Amino acid sequence: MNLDGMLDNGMLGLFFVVIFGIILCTIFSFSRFQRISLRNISAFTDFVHEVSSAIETGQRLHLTLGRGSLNGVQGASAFIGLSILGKIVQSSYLSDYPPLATSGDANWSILSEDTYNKAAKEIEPDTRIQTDVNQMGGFTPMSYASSTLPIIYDQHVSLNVLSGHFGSEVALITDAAERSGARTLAGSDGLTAQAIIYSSVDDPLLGEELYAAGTYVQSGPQHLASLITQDVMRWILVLIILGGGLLHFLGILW
Amino acid sequence: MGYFIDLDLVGLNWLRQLILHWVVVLSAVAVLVGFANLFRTHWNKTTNRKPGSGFSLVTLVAMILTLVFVGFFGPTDPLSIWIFNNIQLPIEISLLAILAVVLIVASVRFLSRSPGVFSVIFISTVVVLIWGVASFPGLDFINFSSLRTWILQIPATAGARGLLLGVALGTIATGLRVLLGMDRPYEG
Repeated sequence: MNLDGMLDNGMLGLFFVVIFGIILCTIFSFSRFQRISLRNISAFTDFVHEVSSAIETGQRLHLTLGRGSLNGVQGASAFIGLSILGKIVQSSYLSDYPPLATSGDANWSILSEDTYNKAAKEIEPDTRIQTDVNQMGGFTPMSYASSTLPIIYDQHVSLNVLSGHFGSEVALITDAAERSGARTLAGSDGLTAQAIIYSSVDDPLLGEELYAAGTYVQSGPQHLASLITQDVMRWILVLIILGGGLLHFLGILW
Repeated sequence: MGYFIDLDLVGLNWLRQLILHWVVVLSAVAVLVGFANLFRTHWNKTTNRKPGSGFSLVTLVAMILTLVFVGFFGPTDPLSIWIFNNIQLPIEISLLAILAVVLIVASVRFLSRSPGVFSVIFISTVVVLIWGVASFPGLDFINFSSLRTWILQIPATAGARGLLLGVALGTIATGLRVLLGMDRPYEG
């Protein structure tokens, strides 16, 4: 049986996404009523502790959203960063040094400012719109990375959160965080950045762990539903891969 | 939708092109907003005499001069290209060179911070991969080149595919959450 020509790649991909969406909506409808235990990811356990510690010691939190484009697949990891930013602002907005957000893309700069102000107004409804806590770093990878260094060194940062698309320039950011004595929680969708993050960061998030951040920082039931859906689809893909390999081995499928 | 199916078949390709043009225009406007944000950040830093204000002043002067020259003469003018080739490019290359040193330091720090089986495997793999590329006189009897090829083709590819699979599922989930309106952290 030859599947080439029977299946159109575009329609197969669309079918996969539609099934993904149906499962996501179904689980989201029931997720509010579910209590699910999550496996322990030490990065997020330390994250909660570090946020509290930063507030108590009067230090700042810094979150950077990377340089991925909003218009491409690289933007998904930065959306996770926006969810984390909202929780960080809600937790530490009233501290001595409010959190800072940086990005290497103009779109994320605008979205992070909006997220920041939305979260700040939930804490203090009469607060004025903050225009100096979101900074556009630079338009090239190296200029973006080098623009975060003064923030890490000079702005009393105790915790850096890196969530977005990075390249090899992430090593400059993580090295600065290490030298300044700040803790770092980092994740990226790029393989190069993940390799660097694994070797240079206290709390690395590899693969899909970054996309679970919304659930672990309790950004809403939609993140829990998304996490469960990812697990379901992952098992489906595993069965398809193993089944396809077995069928190919038996000569039934080629 | 245009990514998965040929919209010409349903007569909607014109709509896709129209929306893409809107995206291009909005992205260009966002770049201008980002430029203004960058200018404002360094302006505040300079006028308030914060630490590093001298560097911010240099940044502001460079931004204004580049905007004036490239805006007046055009991006393909020899002066504009000179600015890029003789100022921006050397700076970026210098940072890349620093990056190489930073990565070496990070590797050493990684071994000292979390010594264990996986950190040793990680560093050993890096050494083998680098050694497989470079040719050291007198050490050619060690066939690192074929070992490097095997590592890249089998275990590295397998591991990378596992990571990418997870990233792909997370990307789809995030995109669907945004498109379906479940996740809007930026609503002002």
